[in-house]
Amino acid sequence: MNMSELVLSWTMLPTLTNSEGILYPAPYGDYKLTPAQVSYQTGQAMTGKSLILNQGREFTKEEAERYHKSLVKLAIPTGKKIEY
Amino acid sequence: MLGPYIDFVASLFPCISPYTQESAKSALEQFYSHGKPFSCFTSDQIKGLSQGDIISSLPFEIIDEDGSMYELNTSACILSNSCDIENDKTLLAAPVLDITRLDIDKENLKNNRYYRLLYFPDEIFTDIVVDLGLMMPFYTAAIQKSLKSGRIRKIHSLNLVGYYLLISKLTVHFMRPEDKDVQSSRGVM
Repeated sequence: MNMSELVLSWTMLPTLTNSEGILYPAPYGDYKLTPAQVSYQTGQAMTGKSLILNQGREFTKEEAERYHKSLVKLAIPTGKKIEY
Repeated sequence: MLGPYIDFVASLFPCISPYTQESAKSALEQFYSHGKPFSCFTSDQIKGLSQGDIISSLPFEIIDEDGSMYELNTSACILSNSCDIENDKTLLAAPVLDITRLDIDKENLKNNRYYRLLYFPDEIFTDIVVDLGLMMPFYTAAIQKSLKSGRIRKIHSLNLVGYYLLISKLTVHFMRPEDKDVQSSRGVM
């Protein structure tokens, strides 16, 4: 098994085996789970250490500020302004 | 370390059975010992436009605090459902950004810890992130026309693993439980 097959076999993503005996994820339509379960299991499967559901978080105010500034730096002023 | 996390997730989503909960723990332990990036994109692009496709490039609007408007031309990840792309006049897309140019903690980003940022732990394309917080509608026909003329090109389609990650991040971004104060303010019927 190569690495991606191993990862698939460890995870709980539904897998199928093709004619060459290679594992691959089953089509989404074959997934007999709720979206929350899909989300949960995919999070586990895909992120390993990162654990997207629990350790995920919003930006802190400071992070949001810095992130937004870096976005603005990438963008071009249009000369338009929204009046609040 | 992982056990409490999985228990917490199970409490967020009561439909997760205790069996699944326990299986997840053992699956994760195996992942830990061998985990490394793997492919999230197809080697062959999916025909037509589908959910999760990454195209170049679309003009996204950024609005600064004082109301000044900016245009950010960058690659885009299509978020609309594939069926809606076929039928609706508009589709939703989110900007795909070069992580080397963003002032944000890269470790948190690459570990998908930020709810609004979708990072594909792909073995080849390692420097891109999708910002779900900046999604915008675009006219589908205009995009289709630009794809046909070559003004816009399709860069990647997601494979099933990448697609599962996309829907999981969309779920978490939009449907994670609100804090208790907000929930209690909604009252009961």
